[in-house]
Amino acid sequence: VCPESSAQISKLLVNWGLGDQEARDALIPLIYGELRRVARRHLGHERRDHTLQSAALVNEAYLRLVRQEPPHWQNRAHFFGVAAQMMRHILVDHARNRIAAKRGGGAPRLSLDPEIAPAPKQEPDVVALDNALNKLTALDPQQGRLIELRFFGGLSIEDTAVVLGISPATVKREWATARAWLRRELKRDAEK
Amino acid sequence: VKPERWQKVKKVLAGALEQTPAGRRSYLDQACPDASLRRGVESLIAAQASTGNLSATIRGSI
Repeated sequence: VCPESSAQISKLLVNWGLGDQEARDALIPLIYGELRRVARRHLGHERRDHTLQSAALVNEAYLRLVRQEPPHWQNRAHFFGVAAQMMRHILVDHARNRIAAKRGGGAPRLSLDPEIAPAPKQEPDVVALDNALNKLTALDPQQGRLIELRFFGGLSIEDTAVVLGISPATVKREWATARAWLRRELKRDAEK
Repeated sequence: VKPERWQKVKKVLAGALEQTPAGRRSYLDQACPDASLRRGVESLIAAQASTGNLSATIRGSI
């Protein structure tokens, strides 16, 4: 990304933060393209036991596109808000293709940020997590989105609150119950 | 599970998770007279607490 377009992207993020939908529409393909490039580079080196760090990939794409912090930190939250969903799709597509091609040993696991998923060695594979998340979204759309932001985008409680337009206290409460639900669902799925 | 039911379960669960593990039983006695709702909440609390070898079992199932 050349410096001019980096400045342009920062400007678009600011305008989007102010409610400009055209800025959002202009940003979406740029963000998606960069996420795919970053993902492809990492997935190319993927070994059988390799774990993916979705949040790290999103962060790398962000740094490549924006280079410096935009004037308002809320704009950063908006970027990660859309990027989390896009990266989820990229990783799930990749995992499904891998399973279809019958190469390697099943889907790659998703390595979750330790702060977000404190239980060690708990790395649900991408496809199982995606399925469980779809069920949660059907049950409670806001909670589905919240988990997506935290798991795939690595958003903090505060950034998640900005993206969802709710208070950090509500994010914490919703996060706790959504995570309990997700754990039970993944466990049941594994026992089938 | 239906969305309306999840909203009920979620409310009781959120309250229970804010208690200490020792305080949860008396909290549920008060906040959750519905036995089947309570079973749902308790299974979620158990899932939350169990860390186990979840990743191994998930991988084994694929």
